[in-house]
Amino acid sequence: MKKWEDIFKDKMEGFEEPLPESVFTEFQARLNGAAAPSAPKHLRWGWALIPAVAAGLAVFLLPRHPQTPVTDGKVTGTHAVEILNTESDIIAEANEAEVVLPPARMSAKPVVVATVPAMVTEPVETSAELEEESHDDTLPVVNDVTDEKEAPTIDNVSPLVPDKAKGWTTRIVDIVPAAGIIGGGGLVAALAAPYLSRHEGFDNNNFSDPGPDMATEPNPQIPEYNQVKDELIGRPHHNLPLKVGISTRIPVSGRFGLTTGIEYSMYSSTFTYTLSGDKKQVAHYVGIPVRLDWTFISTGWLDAYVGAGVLGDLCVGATLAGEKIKRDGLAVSLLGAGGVQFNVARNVGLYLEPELSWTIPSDAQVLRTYRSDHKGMFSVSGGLRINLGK
Amino acid sequence: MYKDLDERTLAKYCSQGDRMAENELYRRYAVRLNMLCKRYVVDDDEAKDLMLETLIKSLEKIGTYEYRGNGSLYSWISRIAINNALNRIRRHRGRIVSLEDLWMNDNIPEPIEDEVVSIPKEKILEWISRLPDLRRSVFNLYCIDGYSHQEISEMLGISVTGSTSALAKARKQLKKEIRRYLNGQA
Repeated sequence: MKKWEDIFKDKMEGFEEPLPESVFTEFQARLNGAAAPSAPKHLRWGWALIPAVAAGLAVFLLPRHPQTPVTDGKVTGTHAVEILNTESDIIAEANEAEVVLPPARMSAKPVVVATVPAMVTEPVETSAELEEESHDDTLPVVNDVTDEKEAPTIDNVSPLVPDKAKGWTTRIVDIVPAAGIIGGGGLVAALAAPYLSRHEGFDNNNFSDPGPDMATEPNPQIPEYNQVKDELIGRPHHNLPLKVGISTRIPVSGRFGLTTGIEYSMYSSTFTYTLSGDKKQVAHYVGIPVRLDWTFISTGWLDAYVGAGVLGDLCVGATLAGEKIKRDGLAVSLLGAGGVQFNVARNVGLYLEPELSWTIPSDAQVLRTYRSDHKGMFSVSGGLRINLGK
Repeated sequence: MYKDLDERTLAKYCSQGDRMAENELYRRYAVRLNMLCKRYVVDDDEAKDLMLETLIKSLEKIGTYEYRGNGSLYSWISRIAINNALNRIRRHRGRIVSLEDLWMNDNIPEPIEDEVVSIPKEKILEWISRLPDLRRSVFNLYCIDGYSHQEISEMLGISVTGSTSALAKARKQLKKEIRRYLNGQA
């Protein structure tokens, strides 16, 4: 009786698949010393950019955040938050107070008139059903800080990252699950990113400062209300970051490879203000990751690897309610990742990669985003990778 | 006319640059060579590229070929193909560690002849392609191309024990595939 290996051998030796005529043509071309009909190596993976770029374009053709232009006309404010006593009773007043925002850029330093303790998290009702209370002449405007920690003010709350010097603490590691999606084709997205932010010449950094008009022309209906301030209420709502990128792996030695590429990230958050309500902040980043990977499993169609490296991210545009605002500086993150890659072609693979990252704190970070509030992040990315040198 | 040439004469004409003889060499051996390359490098495009590279190299070195009986020309060319394939595997893949190395006990019963005869050739090629590089190379060299463990260890730069071990793991993996197929799971 024949062994199964011998039967395998007989079958393989007798196994022939006819070759197309084009192969013979290629053979003759090579014999003649002509260039091989196949594309040069540096173009072999060029076709892979087509679906990758298409994916990136699709991301930008999808509807984005709603347009919320900032108007510098009249805004009807119905909120005024006052602190009655050190126990921080809060009375929400409903008044039809008209707050006229100055059209010009405000350069005056904001003055803290009323401080809101940390316990103030409830949204102020906007309904006109709130009863108007009589304004007691004895109602003080309290400037005392009732909380041990300095309470949020215009300077340190609103999309700005709290300054450590002002008493805010930053949690070093706050790992929360997040789902960042990386698809192929972010190169076009990255180039288009600066054009996404709209600016209308209004410096929103001082938007919440009502300006000297409010200070010198108080609402006659509220004699004791010296200044109406548009303050941040509660914590911002951060949407999950969106990442799109293109990645390539360069072999270093047998099992090691350098993975790099270019990534576009978008961080959007919603801030709620006392007067102007919800405002959406959108920040765009372009980053270059560099990671050394060790492939511990490699078959014809599957690779598995782990790696560590760094990511440098530069903010290329940031807006708040459609208005251009100050951008973050360079952000550097440490990366640790593992993943699997399915090799769909010789030089192209589809990868799935869970990744841990930790952003190094820096004074260059001025925006309050998902990343600033969560220094450590866990994300799962997937996409297209081009393998050079295969 | 060239179709009926014996190997010695064909090689002689090829060494003289006879284009018709070179084309005849392609027609005789390209298909078999392509299947051999597919067993080693898995990817179809790479196998085709390897086959063409092998034929070109063979024609460049055809002057060194010595006739040793019927079939020796193909054996000589296939040896060039195998060397090229192993060079490619070594260059691009490196040494591969498989997690299955942890489990070495082979309790899978040996398939019998009647069971294996019914398995399609395409399936067998697919299973061989799924083997990790080292196991695939050793299995091809030992079981199909007829090299000894000593020769394999020299060709691959591994020890004889390593060659034996890789073959055992390859056999175990292929037996699993056979069992799965025969049980209707493939």
